[in-house]
Amino acid sequence: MILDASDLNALFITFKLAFITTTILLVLGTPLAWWLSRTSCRYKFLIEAVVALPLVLPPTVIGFYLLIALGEGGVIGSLSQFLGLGSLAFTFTGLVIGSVFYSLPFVVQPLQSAFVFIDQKILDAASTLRASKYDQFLTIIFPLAKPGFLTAAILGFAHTLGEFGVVLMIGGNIAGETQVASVAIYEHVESLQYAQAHTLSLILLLFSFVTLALIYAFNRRFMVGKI
Amino acid sequence: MSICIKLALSKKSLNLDVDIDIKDSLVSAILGESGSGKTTLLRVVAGIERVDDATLYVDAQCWQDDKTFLAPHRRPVGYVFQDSMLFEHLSVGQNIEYALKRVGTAKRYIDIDEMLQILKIDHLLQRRPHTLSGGEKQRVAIARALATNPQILLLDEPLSALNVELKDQTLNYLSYICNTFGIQMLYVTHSFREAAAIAEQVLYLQNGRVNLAKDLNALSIDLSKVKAQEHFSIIPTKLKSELREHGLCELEFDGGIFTVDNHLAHNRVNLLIRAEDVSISLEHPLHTSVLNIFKVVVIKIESNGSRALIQLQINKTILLSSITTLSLQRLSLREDMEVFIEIKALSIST
Repeated sequence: MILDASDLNALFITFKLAFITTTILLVLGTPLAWWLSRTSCRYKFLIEAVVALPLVLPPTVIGFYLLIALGEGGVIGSLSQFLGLGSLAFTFTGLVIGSVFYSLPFVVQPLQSAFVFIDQKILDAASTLRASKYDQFLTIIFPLAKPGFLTAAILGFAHTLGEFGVVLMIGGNIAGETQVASVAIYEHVESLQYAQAHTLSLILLLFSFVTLALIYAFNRRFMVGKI
Repeated sequence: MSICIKLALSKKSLNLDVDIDIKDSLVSAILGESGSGKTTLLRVVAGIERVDDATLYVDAQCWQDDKTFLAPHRRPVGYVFQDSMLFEHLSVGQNIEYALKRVGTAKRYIDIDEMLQILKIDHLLQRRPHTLSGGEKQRVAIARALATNPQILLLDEPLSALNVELKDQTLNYLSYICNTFGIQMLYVTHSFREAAAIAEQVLYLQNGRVNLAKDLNALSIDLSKVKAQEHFSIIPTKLKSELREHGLCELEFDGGIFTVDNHLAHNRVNLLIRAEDVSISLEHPLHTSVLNIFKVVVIKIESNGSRALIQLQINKTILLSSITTLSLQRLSLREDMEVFIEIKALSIST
């Protein structure tokens, strides 16, 4: 195994990015997914399409638009300038914003499908048992949708780990700041350092396989337990 | 305790225009065909359905009007749903605890252990809801609703998933509980039989309007015309005396006294008398085992094929008798005739 300091750093940044992104997505994605699962708004399909866009768009397209948005004069860029944060392009914060868009469907969709299966009458019952909306979320919705939350968290995390195109477009490749593992692998291959590329690739491969295996094992156990 | 409901609602297939004041009654049944809006009425009381044009006062306390809307979790009601709606991720005990721990100790007046015993579910606390039978599920749902120590218990067709035997049993539990704990109930049902068995007063929902059926006897005769498969008359009675040595009791009604099985010995009982159990003779029967014999007047005869349905009046009470058209001819029954009816004590129930 050959892992030098910059490889370790890239791995660390990758996991940090995935962790922060997943946390933000769970916080923002839960109300969005809940709204999508309950609303009878006729424009719901538009929001659903926007959420699903990252599934089909080339990451470079997302990256390109985000780069423009983050830059000076862009929507996010103007805001960050106004707040005195400077430009967010080629920073870790910029990476987080990009990842949140990029992994959005992987968190929102499992949550939405889990929420759809929660009968409104169960929540009605809870409210007649003196549970407020917030109480209902903690004691009914969350436990019943737990497999959905787990799937959402793991998919969001794993998908962010595998990010490449978006990161390259908006994060550049600044070692120790915005260089993530997938980009580091690309660099190693470009400079014919196959051994280092192997090590990093294997780590990502094993991690992704183990997490996916865990989801399926958990969901199976949950289904069996329910019957 | 009084509940005052005013609401106007028009949805696709439902028009409701309700203005009722329910008071002086422990158990009130809301009776109506399916789709008549009775469930909506109950959901509005619980606050889980919001109808804009509604006013709701309970004991002079405003739960809803133009300006106020008390959130459902702040209303002191218990709600029993048609299909139990137990939380599958919790055990039976945890389901009941869910309700109990959200109610302040000062507001608790129901002895939970006693209630669990009355409902015969104290041995099920460790079980998961999906392992219970239909009757058990519904009893747990009742217990969970009661664990909120409600001022009003709302029941939405709570027995519709149960077979006849379990229905009677659960009705008995409910009657016993509301008497033991003095709890007011609003009982929604499409079955007049259930309504009469449990309720002191019946609110009849028809064409979007509610009428308070003051006279259950008259309502039972009216409904008998509509529904052909089963004919019975309901007779409200009061307890006169118990004949313990015989296991019987005497119940007084407008027209006389019924002698019936002692398990019916409650202060106020609505007796259900099936038309098939009432036989007619022209003279006072002699040497008979039948305990309940009354002199009545034939007021109406309707024959249909081999059977005839006869309305008989004693004072203001009307009873139904179903006999064959052959007997009708043999006795030459006509309207305004005076006859005697016999009803076996053991055939009378609630």
